[in-house]
Amino acid sequence: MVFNSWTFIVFFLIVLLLHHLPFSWKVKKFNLLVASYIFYAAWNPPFVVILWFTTVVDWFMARQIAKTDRIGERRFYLIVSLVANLGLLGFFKYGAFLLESFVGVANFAGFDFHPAAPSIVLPIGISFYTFVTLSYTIDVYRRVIPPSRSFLDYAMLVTFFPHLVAGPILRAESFLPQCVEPRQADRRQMGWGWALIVIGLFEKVVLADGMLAPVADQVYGAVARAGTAEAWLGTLAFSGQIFFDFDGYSLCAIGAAMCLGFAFPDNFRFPCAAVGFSDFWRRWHISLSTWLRDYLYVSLGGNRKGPVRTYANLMLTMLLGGLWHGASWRFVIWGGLHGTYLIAERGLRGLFPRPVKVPRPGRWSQLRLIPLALLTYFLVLITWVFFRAHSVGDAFRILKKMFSVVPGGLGLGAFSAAVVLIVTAGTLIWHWCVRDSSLEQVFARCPWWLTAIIFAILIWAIATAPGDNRAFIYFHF
Amino acid sequence: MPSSISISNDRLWPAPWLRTWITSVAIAVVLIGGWEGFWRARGFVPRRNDDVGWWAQERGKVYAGGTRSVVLLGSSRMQLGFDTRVFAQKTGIQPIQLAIDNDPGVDVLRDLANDANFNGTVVCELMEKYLVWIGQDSDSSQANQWLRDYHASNVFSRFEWRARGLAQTSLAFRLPDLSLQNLVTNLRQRRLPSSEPFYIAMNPDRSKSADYARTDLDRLKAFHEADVQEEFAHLPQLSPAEFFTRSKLLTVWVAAIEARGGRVIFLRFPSSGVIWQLENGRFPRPEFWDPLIKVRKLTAIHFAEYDTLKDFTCPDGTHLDYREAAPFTAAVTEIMLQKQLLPVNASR
Repeated sequence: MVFNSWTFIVFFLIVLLLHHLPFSWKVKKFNLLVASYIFYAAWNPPFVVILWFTTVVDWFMARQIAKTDRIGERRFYLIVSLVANLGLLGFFKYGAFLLESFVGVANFAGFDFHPAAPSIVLPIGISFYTFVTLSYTIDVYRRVIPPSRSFLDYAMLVTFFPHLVAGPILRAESFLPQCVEPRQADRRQMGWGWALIVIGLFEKVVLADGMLAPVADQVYGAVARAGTAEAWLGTLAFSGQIFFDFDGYSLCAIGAAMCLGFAFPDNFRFPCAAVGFSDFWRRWHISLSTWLRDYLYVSLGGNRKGPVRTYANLMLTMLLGGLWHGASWRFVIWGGLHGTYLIAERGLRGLFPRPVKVPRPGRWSQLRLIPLALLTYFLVLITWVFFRAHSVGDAFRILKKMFSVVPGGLGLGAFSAAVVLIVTAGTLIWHWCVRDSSLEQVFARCPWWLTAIIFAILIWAIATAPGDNRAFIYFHF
Repeated sequence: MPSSISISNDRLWPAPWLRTWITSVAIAVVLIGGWEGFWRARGFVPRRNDDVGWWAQERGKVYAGGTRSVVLLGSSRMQLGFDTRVFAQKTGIQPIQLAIDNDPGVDVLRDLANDANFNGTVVCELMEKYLVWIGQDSDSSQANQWLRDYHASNVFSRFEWRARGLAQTSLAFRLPDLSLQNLVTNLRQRRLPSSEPFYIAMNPDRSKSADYARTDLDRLKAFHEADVQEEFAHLPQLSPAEFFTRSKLLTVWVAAIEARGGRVIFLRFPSSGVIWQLENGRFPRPEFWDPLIKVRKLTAIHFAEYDTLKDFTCPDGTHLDYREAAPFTAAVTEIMLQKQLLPVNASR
């Protein structure tokens, strides 16, 4: 069940109705939990067992950790949690990849090894909910939070349907306190919640699927025939597609939670206007980048062990972050590129100790940062080639075409090119104008009637968009 | 939560949200209603898209008739060339149209063979070139994608398919002809999309009817001829012996269906002109089709073998016009009835 479906609209309206009936808070939470399991089972009912297993294991491990002060015992239960969660992730997500890589190495070394390809179906959302349960256990271990007293509240943290399959990755510290007292959206939350859902659907249905995906698919589906201009257009199209697809999903998730009275963290903050890569990762998939920072980078030592170790920690964090996205060397290269960028940025900061100050919004001096922002955008664009290509070989082929002169052979029309360029330029300008602001601040300045007209147009655009039903990109992770 | 992560709830501002949304929805209804009314006034009529949802609904019907079910498999030749109304009139059986445009249909035959609950009659379009790829189970083939979606479907996906189908049949603006790209392309030529019906019309049972009088036939014929030439240029060469070996899968699938009381009838539709020359030149009937049917003991009807079928011509070289599809189907059905190939109690 995806957000841009009739099924979800009916499901969400029923859940909303139930949430506003005069039941006790416990019953309402139970309804939300059952609805969340139904939401997950809509993809593949047997995988509910895996979700349940993760939930139960970490519930018990966290309780055991909190019961004892002995470091050895606490570490043991933490390791059980890590092994259970990462083991599941490793089997379902990386089993085939590891075997394929092993076979490649074995054959390269001269061994004739050709095992049968395993048929492992990836449970949807596993990368997301295992990170939620892991963060819970680790936070209990670090004594950041006590273990939850209510299994129902904890199960809600893991399973709550708006975030279940593609984030934002929730933290127990901010979500569990919301489960204590009854929550129901007030008029502001309901009004803005539905606004976020409409904006999210517009980004996904109209911009990502309707305008950009066809161009990206055409180019990356026929790499051999693409020319230089087509390679650039296809990559620009994918860059926009992945942003609008994922930001659209996140806004729908945040909006749906808000309509039920819950607060989710932001997941994107105008990343196309990032100045530098540290800034980029404070704006792109924020819930993942902060998770990697807090639970991986910091655990490895962060920047506390000298520059060499800092760089190594940065690179390892980004490599694993890349691998989190998918079981393929393409994603490892993607992570490696971002790690390289972050290291280079840190190194340059060391050479030029005076920080680059971003002037306050509204000042003309902000304009001198535009070249840096465009450079950041360009370097991130290169990484998207590896993200989208079907293979490492195809990725290098596209890059080669992008940086040479090859005549086009795909026949991408002027209309497609115009759409990609207009949407890209529009996005860059929009992000730059509001980079230090928020959607809420933008709409708060609009008169109510203008807001009404804008949303009416967005609804009309969603309703009349072609019905090309594509899955959210991050469902694949 | 780290202080670096902000939360939307913290930034909410007081606003007349009820008034805003009532106004917004009202304007949206007017915009959508006006948009729909505009295109309806220009003659556009909603129609169902031939998508996985519709196909899956038809696929689910194959069990209801038991041994009296008749299922049609193949490509656009089957969708256009087999007149389901004529067949139903002659036999009293409404066939289930599972042919998929641009797909040979053998993957669906394999699926029905592996389906222990299916024991009906299959009329399967067969062309020699299909056997070049048989058994290779391409993940990207339309049929395999739709089969995966069908078998993975549950109450939610089936509800979604029905809802989408309802939207397509209720709203003219959901027509692919009215997509943004099509609109802009027409507007650049200072005109609006034409509601002049496309020469191929979709029928309510997934069959199609082509009226070649409505199209530029010379251009269409040239297109199909070039397409088939390109296809044959890349088609791996198969010797009669290799072809025969690959055909064994057909016998396995046929045997599976017949063991349950069903039947499989292969049907070779007409080809004409340059395309027939290409096809027959690459796969001469005495070396490929005839031994295949004889030795594998398949039940098959080849258009060239019957006086009542061999004179039908395809305007574009590959598909029958609707005016020809009706008598062609009547003749094929008569052959099947005479040979007693159809389920018992089919009328004469």
